[in-house]
Amino acid sequence: MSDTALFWLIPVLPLSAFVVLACGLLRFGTLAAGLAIAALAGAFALALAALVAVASGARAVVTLPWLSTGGRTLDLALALDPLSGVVAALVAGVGLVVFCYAARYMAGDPGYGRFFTEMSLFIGAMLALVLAADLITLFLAWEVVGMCSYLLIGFWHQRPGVPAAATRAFATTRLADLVLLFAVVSLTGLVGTSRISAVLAAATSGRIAGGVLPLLGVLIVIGAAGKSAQIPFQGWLPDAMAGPTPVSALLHSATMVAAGVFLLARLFPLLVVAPGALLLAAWLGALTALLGATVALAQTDLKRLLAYSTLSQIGLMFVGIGSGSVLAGIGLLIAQAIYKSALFLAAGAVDHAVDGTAFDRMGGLARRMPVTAVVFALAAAALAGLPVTLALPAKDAVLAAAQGQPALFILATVASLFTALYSARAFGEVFLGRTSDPARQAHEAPRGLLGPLLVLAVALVVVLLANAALLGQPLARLLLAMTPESPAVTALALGCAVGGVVLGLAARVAWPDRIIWPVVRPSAPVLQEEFGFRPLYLGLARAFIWATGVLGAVDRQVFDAFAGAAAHGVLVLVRLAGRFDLRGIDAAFTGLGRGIADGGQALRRLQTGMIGNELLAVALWGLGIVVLALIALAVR
Amino acid sequence: MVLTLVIFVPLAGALLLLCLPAKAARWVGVGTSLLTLALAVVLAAQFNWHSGGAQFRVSVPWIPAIGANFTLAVDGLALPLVLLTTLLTCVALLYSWPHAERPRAYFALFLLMETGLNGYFSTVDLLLFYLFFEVALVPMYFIIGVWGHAERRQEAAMKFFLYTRVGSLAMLLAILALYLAVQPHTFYLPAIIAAHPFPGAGLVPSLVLLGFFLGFAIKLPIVPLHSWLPDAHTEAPTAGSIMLAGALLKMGGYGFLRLALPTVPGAFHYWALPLAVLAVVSAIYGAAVAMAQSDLKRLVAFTSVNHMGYVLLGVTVAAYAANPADRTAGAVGAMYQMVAHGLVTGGLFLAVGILADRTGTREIARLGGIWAALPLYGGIFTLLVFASLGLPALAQFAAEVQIVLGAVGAFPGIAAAMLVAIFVTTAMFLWVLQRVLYGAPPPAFAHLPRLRAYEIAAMVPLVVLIVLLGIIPGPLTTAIGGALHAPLLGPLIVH
Repeated sequence: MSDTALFWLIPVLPLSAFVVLACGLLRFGTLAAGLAIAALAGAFALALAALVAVASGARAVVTLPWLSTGGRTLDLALALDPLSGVVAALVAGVGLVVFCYAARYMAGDPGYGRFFTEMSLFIGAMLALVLAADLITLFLAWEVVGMCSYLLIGFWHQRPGVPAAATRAFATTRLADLVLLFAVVSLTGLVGTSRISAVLAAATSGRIAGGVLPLLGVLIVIGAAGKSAQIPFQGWLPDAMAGPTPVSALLHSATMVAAGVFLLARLFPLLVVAPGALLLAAWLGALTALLGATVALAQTDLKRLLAYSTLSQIGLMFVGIGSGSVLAGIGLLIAQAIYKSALFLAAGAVDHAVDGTAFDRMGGLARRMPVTAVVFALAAAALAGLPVTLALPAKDAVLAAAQGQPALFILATVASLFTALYSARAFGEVFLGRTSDPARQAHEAPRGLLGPLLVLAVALVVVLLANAALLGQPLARLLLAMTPESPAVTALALGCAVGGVVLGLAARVAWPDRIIWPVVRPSAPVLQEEFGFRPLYLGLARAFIWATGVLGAVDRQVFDAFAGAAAHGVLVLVRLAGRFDLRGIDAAFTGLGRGIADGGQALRRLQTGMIGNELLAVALWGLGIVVLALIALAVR
Repeated sequence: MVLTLVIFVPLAGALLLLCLPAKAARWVGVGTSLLTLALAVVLAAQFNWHSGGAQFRVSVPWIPAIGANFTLAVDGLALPLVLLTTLLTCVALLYSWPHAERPRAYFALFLLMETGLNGYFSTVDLLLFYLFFEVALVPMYFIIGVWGHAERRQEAAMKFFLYTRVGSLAMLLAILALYLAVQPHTFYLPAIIAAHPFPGAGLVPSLVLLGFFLGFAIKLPIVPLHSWLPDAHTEAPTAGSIMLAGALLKMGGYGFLRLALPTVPGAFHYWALPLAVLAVVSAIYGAAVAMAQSDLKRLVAFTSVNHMGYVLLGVTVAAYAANPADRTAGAVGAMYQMVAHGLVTGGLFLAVGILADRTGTREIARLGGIWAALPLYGGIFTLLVFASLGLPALAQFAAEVQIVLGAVGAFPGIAAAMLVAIFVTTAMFLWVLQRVLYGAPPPAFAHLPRLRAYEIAAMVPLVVLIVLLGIIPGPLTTAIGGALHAPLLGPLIVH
């Protein structure tokens, strides 16, 4: 049996765990966690085996018919190729670390079993999305991922503010999902199948009429932007912090937000022949990158800062792919998945230690939580783009790809600089400087939390070593794409990273009140409102609810009033007309029964129930029809 | 023979109920519905799903003087709805076990309605079609008017009755027009379709279409003919709502496909575009007005307006699209949507009823924290809501994706508008979940009784089928597609 024969089990294992747990096993918390972790570990092992096989040229496809309507086929199909192999291994790996962390982090929660049930579905659907070889398969998984993130963001729904955050996240992403559905269905209709390879072949060979393709490309980009929280859909992601920290760690790294970037990479050949779409992706990404990085500067809460950082990083991935380099986008996706999950897990450890995520509960934690501090520092350095990890070459590649368009290039460069700045600031706020009162009581995270953190730290270092040894070649070979070498851009990226980190640390440690903060602080209110996006969306939501209220009132005042008047009129008429006095349906039925026995005189004597003449009138009429029909049948 | 039994066993059960003491009513009522379901399952097992054409044909001369025969047959369009009807009757009666006051009449009326529905879905004789339409209508009038909730139940029942009567009379006129237009006069549907009396889109075919439209669009219902529905649901007992939304509304969509489409194809094609616009307007309107409701049951009622809008859209695609693949997708999607909606909305009404039994209220403002109070119930309710907002891997998605697939080919702008409707539904339902399920439960709800066995028994088949039809849509799609290839509809849809 070859290494690829069982690759379809990669998503099926966690999904099976979900089914088993959902059928009742979730009541046994520890068992649920064990099962979920075991299934995901199996998936990860298979994904690694598949990755090795892919690197040596193996490919595989598995198909299950799902729906065939009017001669068009929509299948459940999974395919193993370089892109899906790399990202599946990443998703399963990061997921496994987060699961192990959650086993300790969520201990004692009354919803422990439910948590692992929903997480298994979440990760299984994401793996299916990544391996999908059919647009409808991809969309099914896409929606299930969104649904799970809704459930998981709302996991602690008894806490104030959480339900609204979950609703906002799902409503926003579903709006974009439906745009994507339109594109998926249109492509299926035009090509006759939803198989991705066939759709891409049709698009690149010009079999799809010219005018439609750019539009569909734009719709696909909009769908991706929704899932990846790019402008104008960015609002849901910072609110998604309401979920438990392991959920954030997964949602911000390898699952959910990564899906949009992955979609762009998967359908890249189609987007290339719809050039407006790529340009749109690049611009949405650049603007979001700048917005996220700027707003992150002003955050006073660690998790919110990390959330805006994710917006910004995903934005850079969009810039990379939108500028024509899939490698840049996916490279940064892989790097981000590792360092962002490490940052979130470290944030969770800090949260446990100081019981909160606001910066004013932290400070000077480096001495009290040294291991966490080291891991955080490594991950933050990666986020900043310092030359210790895969992140620098990836960012370098994004900037190199954007070189051709000065405006995009400048936006991306400024975003990179800000990224370094807030990375350093975050580290400083948490681990350096004066110790706050809650932080005095803090001590190092328990082993169950540190273990997964260290695994991610090792992963960062290993990736660094592999990267140093092979200069990014393995990725490039796997993705069958190359990025132009450009020393000037590398120098610029490096300069941004080093300069930003130095400035950020200096601002925190040496001159807390002199640089950066005097600039950022006055603009904080504007930044907290995302330059007016927040009030705008809140206003839109209110207007929407108001409009439905108006429609509801119209329905009552106009349609209901008309129907009510008609019904009322008939009721009055019937009462006027009904001089004869009979007592209603129960009486009629009882009467019918007794009538059969008593020879028909009983009806009048029965006094049970006062329903009304109109009921009887209708009853006689209805029964009459039945009786007439039966008689007609009998005497034919 | 089995088909005849599926139709008349409930009637026999109803008559039996009237002769037995009230104590036996529950056993006889639920027993009869279970027996009917078993018979329907036997029917389904014997049915040739691959051909999908009309089978189990029974024909007895009925009123020879006017050429009316007692003709029954089911195909891939009819049988799923017969199965749906028999299942939902079981669910409704099982749920009613401890609730039914005056049980003899109550169960008898439900069984009479089942006869009407099963007959309506399995006849190919238009006079019989009309007859069963009325037989299904009358019991619901009493169920609302007698066993309804509030003071306004009589007005609600009368609204329901008036609207549906107007519709059925309009339909009768259309049927008579068909009858008179064919020589020799006949009510036999295949003969009428073969004679093709109204090929064009002139005045008379359009009037016939109008007759059918009034009959079926009121039943579905389509805005602005929908006002009977929210009141009927608000006042009807839970079991009545399950049948009304789950099975009775389907008479409209089925009528469009079975009668209107093949008998006046030209007129339908001509008027398809305005009807499609009406369908999406109805869908968006239904979802938006649902959002404005403060009564949870009334809210669910309005979602039917939304979902049945998609059904009419699918039918108009089948009437309009130039590409046979789009026509098939529209018609199959519409049928699939009816089955899926029957299960989902039947389940939702059941869920609302179960909740109201416990909390004593259906006011959304007074509910809250239900998931924490009733974990299993919360899970089921969430699943039903997800199914209703068209989430993949659940039944309605498989239907809606086909309707959109057909509509994109026929009228892309309207297909996009349907997605807007789905979005409004999503927002509306998420808001419901947020207000009803989420949050900390108020003290009054801290000790709500857990789900009882009969409630779970009523819910489980619906949930299982919703998931199965969502994950494995192939078989039912194939069966419906087979019916569309068969002689009755084939020439219109496939070629």
